[in-house]
Amino acid sequence: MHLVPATVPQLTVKLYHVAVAAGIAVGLIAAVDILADRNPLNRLAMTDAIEIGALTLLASVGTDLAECLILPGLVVGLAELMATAEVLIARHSDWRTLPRFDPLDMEILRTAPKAIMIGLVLYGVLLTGFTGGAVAGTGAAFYIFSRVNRPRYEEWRGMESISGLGWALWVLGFSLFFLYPKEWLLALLLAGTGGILVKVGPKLSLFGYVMGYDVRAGSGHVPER
Amino acid sequence: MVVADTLLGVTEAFLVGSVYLGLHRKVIARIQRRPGPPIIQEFLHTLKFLMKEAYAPITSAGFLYWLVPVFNVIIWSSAVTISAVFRGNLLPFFALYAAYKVLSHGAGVSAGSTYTKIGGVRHAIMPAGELALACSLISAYFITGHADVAGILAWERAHGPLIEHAPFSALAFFTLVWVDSPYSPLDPSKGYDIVEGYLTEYPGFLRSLMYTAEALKFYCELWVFQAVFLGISDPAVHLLAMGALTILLAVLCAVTPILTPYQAVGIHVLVASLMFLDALIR
Amino acid sequence: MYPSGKVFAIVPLGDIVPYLSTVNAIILATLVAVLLLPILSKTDVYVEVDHKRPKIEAKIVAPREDRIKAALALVSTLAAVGVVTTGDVFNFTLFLSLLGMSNMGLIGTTVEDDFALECAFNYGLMCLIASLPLFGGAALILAATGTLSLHELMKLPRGAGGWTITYAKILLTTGVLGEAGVGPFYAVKVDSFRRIWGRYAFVIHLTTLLTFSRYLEILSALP
Repeated sequence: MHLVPATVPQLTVKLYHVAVAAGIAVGLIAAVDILADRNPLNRLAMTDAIEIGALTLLASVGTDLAECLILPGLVVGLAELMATAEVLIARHSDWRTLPRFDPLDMEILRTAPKAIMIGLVLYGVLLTGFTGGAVAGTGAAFYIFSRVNRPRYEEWRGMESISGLGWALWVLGFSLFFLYPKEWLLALLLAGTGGILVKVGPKLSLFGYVMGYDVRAGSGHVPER
Repeated sequence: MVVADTLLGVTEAFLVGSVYLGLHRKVIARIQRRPGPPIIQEFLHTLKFLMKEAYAPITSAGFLYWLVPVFNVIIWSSAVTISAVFRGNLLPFFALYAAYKVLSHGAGVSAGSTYTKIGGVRHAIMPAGELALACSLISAYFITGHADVAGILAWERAHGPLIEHAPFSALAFFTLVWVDSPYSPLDPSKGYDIVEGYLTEYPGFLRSLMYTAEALKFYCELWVFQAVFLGISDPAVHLLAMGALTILLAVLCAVTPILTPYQAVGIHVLVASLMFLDALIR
Repeated sequence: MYPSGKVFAIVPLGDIVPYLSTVNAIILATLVAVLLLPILSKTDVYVEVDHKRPKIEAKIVAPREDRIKAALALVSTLAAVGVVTTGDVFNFTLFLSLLGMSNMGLIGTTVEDDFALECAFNYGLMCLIASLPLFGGAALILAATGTLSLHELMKLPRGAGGWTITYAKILLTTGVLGEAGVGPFYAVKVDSFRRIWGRYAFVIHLTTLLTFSRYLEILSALP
């Protein structure tokens, strides 16, 4: 059967066999390593390498359908890896022997993050869209995680209210488009800022929930995890 | 008409199956120099238990325990109907066989007794049944291009019986029939150590239903083996060939010692993997 | 055309077209019917015997219901339903991975000790390793025939893909055996069938076997 269209160069077609061989070789090498070293953590890591071999086999087909298949394959592989890792943790974890870390107290942790955050958020707002959200979100997250004292309850609530502010800005920008179409740049910036804030704000407050700050319990209460 | 055919076919399967199970037992007894029970003994057993009251042990899982025998009969009646009566597709036969495996396991689990549980677990870990069935059906389809019994029979009339074309697959299916026949060396689920395996805790008419299912199963497996691999479609020849196969199985069961579960499972895995390679390369 | 008998229901859901043929429908009906049994029945009960003089007292100990195990069993069953009804080879492999994962959870939770966790971990590794031949087989089929839809694959003449298809079949079979086929063996190894949650472990056996019978249909549909 002639499945490959003539526009595809012959070199690419030949590379298919190389890619399949590479994928299977990755799997075999990882399997040999699993056999050689019986440490459970090593085995887990190496099975992930085998997963990459499977993705290589999928990617080697090189059509848009194959591209669509890689994402679910990756997700399922990751889910399996996480489930297996969870089993491993349940098997080997002993909370009493886990090391504890004291927070570092350094001058630079108090001054630099603010500047970096402001820079990243402003740049993200200017970029707009998916990338902008990612950049702005990274800046905000960097600021939060590098603080010596994690934000308190009121601050998390404040971050949640950012999204409300962003929503208002977005509506303002949207209506500017219709009322004064000549001011389109201002409208775009307002709407972009608002959109990104709407996206980033709830995620930040979600961090708060995930890190164990019980919002319902009132200010400052940090339950033991 | 369909209903009448089905009822007639299932009744025939039950009668023939129980008589041949009795024949199986008789041959084994004669080889061991015992007189043995009469040939219709299995049939009489089934009838006798049908009239008895049933009860559930206090440790049983209730619903599962009561419905396993009923489902068993339903499953094997449908298998007989699909494959033997209407000569339909063989792939449901595999699904129904798998369901039978699961149900036997459920019978073992649900009664709450240690013997039944071990019997059910041993029945569950015997892979020769499913795998051998799977690869023989698949290679039959690959060779003949038909998945239904009628098509396979038509193909065999033109090209000769399938056992000449795929002897390994026939051997795989024969292994399955051998594993599932009573007193088989390869079936550790009913040993001396665990009384009657998963059947131990079933009293009264529940046991009668289990016996009915066994008879239907014996008939169905023998029928499919002959139709698919020997290419016999005449009813009278069918009965004779089934009798010959039963005697062959009985001789095989009588002269071989019972294996331990690990040995049995090892042999199963060996047979099944060889068959699978054979089926896939086709 | 279809090796699985007459097709009487097709769900045109975009690219992936689930369908119900005779075989599918029988497998699905068996799955649902047999699954109702463990759901509707009681948990296994222990009888604790206390040898007191002058009489012997037997006390029945029934465990508390556990939602995690029930949820895992449900996920396993849903994955099996997906496996049975899907009309796409890659979808089949994805559902099979999900099934392997939930069965791994069942093995790890039905028996609450360290050995069971060890076995569940090994089974999880087995699932991850088996995903290479599983996805690899699907990818080879895609490369050899240009499609993954079973409806299209069935139209191809036998021997259309050549040796690549044979190789893909061997890989797929290895993957299916590793992903689902070894489940009951691990369950037997940790003895979960004989424990108090045996009826949830029963689901492992059920989904595995019915998945395998669906795999037979897919195998016969490949060119």
